[in-house]
Amino acid sequence: MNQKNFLQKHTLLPPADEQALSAMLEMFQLLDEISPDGAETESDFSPLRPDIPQEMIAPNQLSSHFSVFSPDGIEIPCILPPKEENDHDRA
Amino acid sequence: MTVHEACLALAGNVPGYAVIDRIPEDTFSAKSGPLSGIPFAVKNNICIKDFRLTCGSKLLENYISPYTATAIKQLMDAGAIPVCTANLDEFGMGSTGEYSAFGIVENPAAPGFCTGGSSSGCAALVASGCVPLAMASDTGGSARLPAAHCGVLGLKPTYGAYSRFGLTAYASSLEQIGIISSDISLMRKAHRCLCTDKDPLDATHRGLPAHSASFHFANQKIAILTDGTDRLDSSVSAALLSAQETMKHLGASFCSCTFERGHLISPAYYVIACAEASANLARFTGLLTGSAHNDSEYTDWERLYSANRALLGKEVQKRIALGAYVLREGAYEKYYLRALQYRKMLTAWFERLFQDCALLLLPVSSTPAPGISEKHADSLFHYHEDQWTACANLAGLPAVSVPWGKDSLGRPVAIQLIAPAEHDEDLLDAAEKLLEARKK
Repeated sequence: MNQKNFLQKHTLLPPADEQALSAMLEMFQLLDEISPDGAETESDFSPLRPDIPQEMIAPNQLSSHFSVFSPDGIEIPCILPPKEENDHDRA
Repeated sequence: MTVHEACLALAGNVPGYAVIDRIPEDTFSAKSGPLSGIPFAVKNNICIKDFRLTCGSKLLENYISPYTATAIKQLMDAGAIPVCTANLDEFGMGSTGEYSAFGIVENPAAPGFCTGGSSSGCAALVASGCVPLAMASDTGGSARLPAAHCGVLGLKPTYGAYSRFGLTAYASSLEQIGIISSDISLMRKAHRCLCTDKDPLDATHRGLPAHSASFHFANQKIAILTDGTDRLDSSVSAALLSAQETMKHLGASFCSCTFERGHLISPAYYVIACAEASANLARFTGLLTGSAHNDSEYTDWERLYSANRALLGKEVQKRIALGAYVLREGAYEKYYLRALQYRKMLTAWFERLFQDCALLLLPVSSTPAPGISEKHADSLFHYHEDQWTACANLAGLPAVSVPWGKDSLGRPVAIQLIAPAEHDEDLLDAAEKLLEARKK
């Protein structure tokens, strides 16, 4: 699946402005000089809050603590299309 | 005329679109406390029960919040009275005040120039004198930058100092509710009302330890950032030098410092912010907040959700797409893990810095407010500019922007102070002493 289709299927958004995305990705490339070794994984503790597992504030969690719509703690499922074969992602 | 009515009358005279909704005077019963009778504005990504929560977005134009944010309840319990909800760059994504679906907010302190964002409405309402206090949010500078451009104070607290329950999530590990105010002692009172015992509704909230002693500049070492000083507008350089002279008069000494690979602050910030935004905003499909389209016209949920999500602004769509991209396999290791690793390095850099120094003095932005619709030659200019403020969000540190005069065009100029984690009161003490010394 190419990048454009992937983004559309996983974000349910209209086709992205590829030029704008490319410009930002070029900025992100600056991070190449950093070795990812030692970075947090989802089970590590965040340096900001050593008492809270990273997964509680990791980007892929839709915890009710951050939910605008469920003050009583009901988990809101994230609506994403089913994964296709060979389309591995962490979103 | 009551204070409430006077505030709303003044708000009606602010040019541009600073106000989303007015809050009628009898909506909330008045309480007594340290903020008795103080009117305040609320950025419209912070929930107030039974009022619209638009987040500056067409997608949420008619969405009514089912509850009130903890921080707003805390201020009301202290006697403060919300008078209106304030416009913002959509979902907190933007740094000029031009990205709301409900119009551009104009800078009352510098007509024709941007307020800055994303807390554009809050800064405009405080700067114009409508309200002395506003509850904003700060993910990468969104309280400090508009405060600086509008000539008022802007505070981002230590990560976890205030409850985020009821703040619409954009980037959960970066953002905090922020305070914008025209008065430092009022800012301090509001700050203390928000630093309470742990809110069970926010897993990341822990409040702050009690403040023990006042901060004084005498015999303190202040770090002066020398990165990028060649790029600063002369008015910003002059403000930093002037602030340094004032600190020197108060007894401080100085040392110079440069960021650990400062050119990576903005890339790391945007990778993390976009990644978290892509997950946090995945819930906005119209299912829970009301569809903008007639359900019966669509044959499947996916098409209906897509139709609703097409109402998101271009900047929001771009950040969601980038976030989804950097989290996929392959890109995750290339971008996201590296951004997390840089975040760790920057946090460690600050820890080392604050072993020797009490505070860091640096700009809020390279220039005062840009013109409305002004296009910079570098399309990424505004993103790179975020390095001055986003560094504090990446490291979870408290930071304040302090107004410091105007440039030759009359645009407000500001300086920024960053303190070690949980030294928010030192930051407020420092700002107060600087402002007092400046008056003399």
